Amino acid sequence: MKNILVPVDGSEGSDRAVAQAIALAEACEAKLNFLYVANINQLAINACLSDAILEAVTKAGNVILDRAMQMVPSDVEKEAFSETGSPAVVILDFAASNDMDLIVMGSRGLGVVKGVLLGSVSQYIVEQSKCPVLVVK
Amino acid sequence: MKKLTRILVPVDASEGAERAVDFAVSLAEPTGAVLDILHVSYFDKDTDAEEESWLPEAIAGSVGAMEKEALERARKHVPPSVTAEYHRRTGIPADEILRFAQEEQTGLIVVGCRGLGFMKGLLLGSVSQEIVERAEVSVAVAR
Repeated sequence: MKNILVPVDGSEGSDRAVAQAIALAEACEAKLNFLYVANINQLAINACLSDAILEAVTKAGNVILDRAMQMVPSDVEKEAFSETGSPAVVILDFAASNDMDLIVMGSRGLGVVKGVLLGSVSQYIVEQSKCPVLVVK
Repeated sequence: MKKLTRILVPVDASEGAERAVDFAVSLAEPTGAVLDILHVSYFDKDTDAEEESWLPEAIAGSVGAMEKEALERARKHVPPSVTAEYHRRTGIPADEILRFAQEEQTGLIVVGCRGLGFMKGLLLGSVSQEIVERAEVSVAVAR
Protein backbone atom coordinates (compact mmCIF):
# COMPACT_ATOMS: atom_id res chain seq x y z
CA MET A 1 0.00 0.00 0.00
CA LYS A 2 1.73 3.17 -1.23
CA ASN A 3 -0.97 5.76 -1.81
CA ILE A 4 -4.05 6.44 0.30
CA LEU A 5 -6.72 8.83 -0.95
CA VAL A 6 -8.76 10.67 1.66
CA PRO A 7 -11.58 12.79 0.27
CA VAL A 8 -12.39 15.55 2.80
CA ASP A 9 -15.39 17.85 3.15
CA GLY A 10 -14.93 19.20 6.67
CA SER A 11 -17.70 17.05 8.15
CA GLU A 12 -17.31 15.10 11.38
CA GLY A 13 -17.22 11.84 9.41
CA SER A 14 -14.44 13.16 7.23
CA ASP A 15 -12.41 14.09 10.33
CA ARG A 16 -12.70 10.51 11.60
CA ALA A 17 -11.64 9.22 8.20
CA VAL A 18 -8.56 11.47 8.32
CA ALA A 19 -7.62 10.10 11.75
CA GLN A 20 -7.99 6.50 10.62
CA ALA A 21 -6.11 7.14 7.39
CA ILE A 22 -3.22 8.66 9.34
CA ALA A 23 -2.99 5.54 11.54
CA LEU A 24 -2.94 3.33 8.44
CA ALA A 25 -0.42 5.48 6.59
CA GLU A 26 1.90 5.34 9.59
CA ALA A 27 1.67 1.55 9.82
CA CYS A 28 2.03 0.99 6.07
CA GLU A 29 4.44 3.86 5.41
CA ALA A 30 2.08 5.10 2.74
CA LYS A 31 1.53 8.61 1.40
CA LEU A 32 -1.69 10.47 2.27
CA ASN A 33 -3.46 12.33 -0.53
CA PHE A 34 -6.21 14.66 0.66
CA LEU A 35 -8.75 15.70 -1.92
CA TYR A 36 -11.33 18.43 -1.58
CA VAL A 37 -13.96 18.60 -4.30
CA ALA A 38 -15.91 21.84 -4.63
CA ASN A 39 -19.31 20.79 -5.85
CA ILE A 40 -19.67 23.19 -8.75
CA ASN A 41 -20.37 22.44 -12.31
CA GLN A 42 -17.71 23.68 -14.75
CA LEU A 43 -20.38 25.16 -17.04
CA ALA A 44 -21.80 27.15 -14.17
CA ILE A 45 -18.34 28.49 -13.44
CA ASN A 46 -17.92 29.70 -16.99
CA ALA A 47 -21.43 31.03 -17.34
CA CYS A 48 -22.30 32.94 -14.26
CA LEU A 49 -20.19 32.42 -11.16
CA SER A 50 -18.39 35.58 -10.22
CA ASP A 51 -14.76 35.55 -9.23
CA ALA A 52 -15.74 36.50 -5.70
CA ILE A 53 -17.85 33.36 -5.27
CA LEU A 54 -15.17 31.16 -6.78
CA GLU A 55 -12.61 32.66 -4.48
CA ALA A 56 -14.81 32.05 -1.43
CA VAL A 57 -15.35 28.40 -2.42
CA THR A 58 -11.64 27.89 -2.99
CA LYS A 59 -10.84 29.44 0.35
CA ALA A 60 -13.33 27.17 2.15
CA GLY A 61 -11.70 24.15 0.51
CA ASN A 62 -8.24 25.29 1.50
CA VAL A 63 -9.26 25.68 5.13
CA ILE A 64 -10.54 22.08 5.17
CA LEU A 65 -7.43 20.76 3.43
CA ASP A 66 -5.11 22.70 5.75
CA ARG A 67 -6.84 21.28 8.79
CA ALA A 68 -6.38 17.72 7.50
CA MET A 69 -2.76 18.36 6.60
CA GLN A 70 -2.04 19.73 10.08
CA MET A 71 -3.32 16.55 11.72
CA VAL A 72 -0.63 14.46 9.97
CA PRO A 73 2.58 13.75 11.93
CA SER A 74 5.72 15.05 10.24
CA ASP A 75 7.10 11.59 9.41
CA VAL A 76 4.16 10.78 7.12
CA GLU A 77 4.26 11.95 3.52
CA LYS A 78 1.23 14.03 2.51
CA GLU A 79 -0.20 16.20 -0.25
CA ALA A 80 -3.39 18.22 -0.72
CA PHE A 81 -5.44 18.47 -3.90
CA SER A 82 -8.42 20.63 -4.81
CA GLU A 83 -10.82 19.96 -7.67
CA THR A 84 -14.24 21.07 -8.83
CA GLY A 85 -17.10 18.95 -10.09
CA SER A 86 -19.44 16.24 -8.91
CA PRO A 87 -17.67 14.82 -5.81
CA ALA A 88 -18.25 11.09 -6.37
CA VAL A 89 -17.18 11.22 -10.01
CA VAL A 90 -14.15 13.42 -9.38
CA ILE A 91 -12.98 11.24 -6.47
CA LEU A 92 -13.13 8.07 -8.58
CA ASP A 93 -11.38 9.75 -11.53
CA PHE A 94 -8.67 11.00 -9.23
CA ALA A 95 -8.19 7.57 -7.65
CA ALA A 96 -7.91 5.88 -11.04
CA SER A 97 -5.62 8.39 -12.72
CA ASN A 98 -3.28 8.71 -9.73
CA ASP A 99 -2.98 4.99 -8.95
CA MET A 100 -4.47 5.15 -5.47
CA ASP A 101 -4.31 1.86 -3.53
CA LEU A 102 -7.07 2.68 -1.06
CA ILE A 103 -9.79 5.27 -0.53
CA VAL A 104 -10.57 6.10 3.10
CA MET A 105 -13.76 8.06 3.70
CA GLY A 106 -16.54 8.73 6.18
CA SER A 107 -19.89 6.98 5.92
CA ARG A 108 -21.77 10.28 5.64
CA GLY A 109 -20.55 13.69 4.67
CA LEU A 110 -22.35 17.00 4.63
CA GLY A 111 -25.49 15.57 3.04
CA VAL A 112 -28.76 16.97 4.37
CA VAL A 113 -30.57 13.68 4.97
CA LYS A 114 -29.71 12.71 8.53
CA GLY A 115 -31.48 9.35 8.50
CA VAL A 116 -29.47 7.56 5.87
CA LEU A 117 -26.76 5.22 7.05
CA LEU A 118 -24.51 5.64 4.06
CA GLY A 119 -24.28 8.96 2.24
CA SER A 120 -24.81 9.11 -1.51
CA VAL A 121 -21.18 9.93 -2.30
CA SER A 122 -19.88 7.08 -0.12
CA GLN A 123 -22.48 4.71 -1.57
CA TYR A 124 -21.48 5.57 -5.13
CA ILE A 125 -17.78 5.15 -4.39
CA VAL A 126 -18.21 1.86 -2.53
CA GLU A 127 -20.10 0.51 -5.53
CA GLN A 128 -18.02 1.88 -8.38
CA SER A 129 -14.45 2.10 -7.11
CA LYS A 130 -11.76 -0.02 -8.77
CA CYS A 131 -9.57 0.09 -5.65
CA PRO A 132 -10.51 -0.95 -2.09
CA VAL A 133 -12.61 1.50 -0.07
CA LEU A 134 -12.54 1.86 3.70
CA VAL A 135 -15.72 3.36 5.13
CA VAL A 136 -14.93 4.83 8.54
CA LYS A 137 -17.68 4.80 11.18
CA MET B 1 -8.41 6.03 16.34
CA LYS B 2 -7.92 2.86 18.33
CA LYS B 3 -5.05 0.65 17.25
CA LEU B 4 -6.11 -2.02 14.80
CA THR B 5 -5.88 -5.30 16.69
CA ARG B 6 -8.58 -7.54 15.20
CA ILE B 7 -9.84 -7.63 11.64
CA LEU B 8 -12.96 -9.63 10.83
CA VAL B 9 -13.14 -11.20 7.37
CA PRO B 10 -16.42 -12.96 6.54
CA VAL B 11 -15.85 -15.52 3.79
CA ASP B 12 -17.71 -17.80 1.48
CA ALA B 13 -16.06 -19.94 -1.16
CA SER B 14 -15.75 -17.17 -3.75
CA GLU B 15 -13.09 -15.08 -5.47
CA GLY B 16 -14.46 -11.96 -3.82
CA ALA B 17 -13.87 -13.52 -0.41
CA GLU B 18 -10.31 -14.47 -1.39
CA ARG B 19 -9.61 -10.88 -2.42
CA ALA B 20 -11.01 -9.76 0.94
CA VAL B 21 -8.58 -12.09 2.73
CA ASP B 22 -5.68 -10.79 0.60
CA PHE B 23 -6.55 -7.21 1.41
CA ALA B 24 -7.01 -7.97 5.12
CA VAL B 25 -3.59 -9.65 5.11
CA SER B 26 -2.07 -6.50 3.59
CA LEU B 27 -3.47 -4.54 6.55
CA ALA B 28 -2.62 -7.16 9.18
CA GLU B 29 1.03 -7.49 8.15
CA PRO B 30 2.12 -3.90 8.92
CA THR B 31 -0.24 -3.41 11.89
CA GLY B 32 0.20 -6.81 13.57
CA ALA B 33 -3.58 -7.26 13.75
CA VAL B 34 -5.08 -10.74 14.13
CA LEU B 35 -7.53 -11.95 11.47
CA ASP B 36 -10.86 -13.47 12.47
CA ILE B 37 -12.02 -15.43 9.46
CA LEU B 38 -15.71 -16.26 9.74
CA HIS B 39 -18.04 -18.43 7.72
CA VAL B 40 -21.77 -18.27 8.30
CA SER B 41 -24.06 -21.08 7.15
CA TYR B 42 -27.79 -20.47 6.89
CA PHE B 43 -28.39 -23.75 8.67
CA ASP B 44 -26.59 -26.90 9.71
CA LYS B 45 -27.58 -30.43 10.68
CA ASP B 46 -28.65 -29.29 14.17
CA THR B 47 -31.03 -26.61 12.91
CA ASP B 48 -34.50 -27.31 14.33
CA ALA B 49 -33.32 -30.74 15.49
CA GLU B 50 -34.72 -31.69 18.87
CA GLU B 51 -32.97 -34.96 19.38
CA GLU B 52 -32.04 -36.17 15.98
CA SER B 53 -31.28 -34.20 12.88
CA TRP B 54 -34.15 -34.37 10.41
CA LEU B 55 -32.18 -32.77 7.63
CA PRO B 56 -31.10 -35.42 5.16
CA GLU B 57 -27.37 -35.94 4.94
CA ALA B 58 -27.52 -34.91 1.27
CA ILE B 59 -28.40 -31.37 2.39
CA ALA B 60 -26.75 -30.98 5.79
CA GLY B 61 -23.61 -32.68 4.50
CA SER B 62 -23.22 -30.32 1.57
CA VAL B 63 -23.58 -27.28 3.86
CA GLY B 64 -20.72 -28.65 5.94
CA ALA B 65 -18.65 -29.13 2.80
CA MET B 66 -19.29 -25.54 1.69
CA GLU B 67 -18.19 -24.26 5.05
CA LYS B 68 -15.05 -26.37 4.93
CA GLU B 69 -14.24 -25.22 1.41
CA ALA B 70 -14.73 -21.54 2.30
CA LEU B 71 -12.42 -21.72 5.29
CA GLU B 72 -9.85 -23.82 3.42
CA ARG B 73 -9.74 -21.38 0.51
CA ALA B 74 -9.28 -18.49 2.95
CA ARG B 75 -6.53 -20.33 4.82
CA LYS B 76 -4.48 -20.66 1.63
CA HIS B 77 -4.34 -16.87 1.37
CA VAL B 78 -2.98 -16.29 4.86
CA PRO B 79 0.84 -16.28 5.03
CA PRO B 80 2.60 -17.70 8.13
CA SER B 81 3.56 -14.15 9.18
CA VAL B 82 -0.10 -13.34 9.93
CA THR B 83 -2.08 -14.82 12.82
CA ALA B 84 -5.58 -15.95 11.86
CA GLU B 85 -8.37 -17.61 13.80
CA TYR B 86 -11.15 -19.48 12.03
CA HIS B 87 -14.76 -19.36 13.15
CA ARG B 88 -18.07 -20.80 12.04
CA ARG B 89 -21.58 -19.71 12.88
CA THR B 90 -25.08 -20.56 11.78
CA GLY B 91 -27.79 -18.05 10.95
CA ILE B 92 -28.53 -15.07 8.70
CA PRO B 93 -25.07 -14.05 7.41
CA ALA B 94 -25.25 -10.26 7.84
CA ASP B 95 -26.79 -10.58 11.33
CA GLU B 96 -24.24 -13.14 12.49
CA ILE B 97 -21.31 -11.16 11.06
CA LEU B 98 -22.42 -7.96 12.83
CA ARG B 99 -23.07 -9.86 16.07
CA PHE B 100 -19.62 -11.43 15.88
CA ALA B 101 -18.05 -7.99 15.32
CA GLN B 102 -19.77 -6.67 18.42
CA GLU B 103 -18.91 -9.64 20.63
CA GLU B 104 -15.29 -9.89 19.58
CA GLN B 105 -14.45 -6.17 19.64
CA THR B 106 -13.61 -6.16 15.97
CA GLY B 107 -11.82 -2.98 14.86
CA LEU B 108 -12.48 -3.39 11.17
CA ILE B 109 -14.56 -5.64 8.93
CA VAL B 110 -13.15 -6.44 5.48
CA VAL B 111 -15.71 -7.66 2.96
CA GLY B 112 -15.40 -8.74 -0.64
CA CYS B 113 -17.39 -7.18 -3.40
CA ARG B 114 -19.85 -9.62 -4.88
CA GLY B 115 -19.53 -13.20 -3.78
CA LEU B 116 -21.37 -13.20 -0.48
CA GLY B 117 -24.65 -13.75 -2.23
CA PHE B 118 -26.13 -14.98 -5.42
CA MET B 119 -27.29 -11.75 -7.01
CA LYS B 120 -24.46 -11.44 -9.50
CA GLY B 121 -26.02 -8.37 -11.03
CA LEU B 122 -25.26 -6.19 -8.04
CA LEU B 123 -21.83 -4.62 -7.95
CA LEU B 124 -21.71 -5.08 -4.24
CA GLY B 125 -23.16 -8.29 -2.83
CA SER B 126 -26.27 -7.91 -0.73
CA VAL B 127 -24.47 -9.10 2.40
CA SER B 128 -21.55 -6.71 1.88
CA GLN B 129 -23.95 -3.85 1.22
CA GLU B 130 -25.84 -4.55 4.41
CA ILE B 131 -22.64 -4.72 6.43
CA VAL B 132 -21.29 -1.44 5.05
CA GLU B 133 -24.55 0.23 6.03
CA ARG B 134 -25.30 -1.36 9.39
CA ALA B 135 -21.88 -1.95 10.95
CA GLU B 136 -20.94 0.19 13.91
CA VAL B 137 -17.25 -0.33 13.14
CA SER B 138 -15.37 0.66 10.01
CA VAL B 139 -15.79 -1.52 6.94
CA ALA B 140 -13.37 -1.96 4.06
CA VAL B 141 -14.60 -3.25 0.70
CA ALA B 142 -11.81 -5.14 -1.07
CA ARG B 143 -11.49 -5.24 -4.86
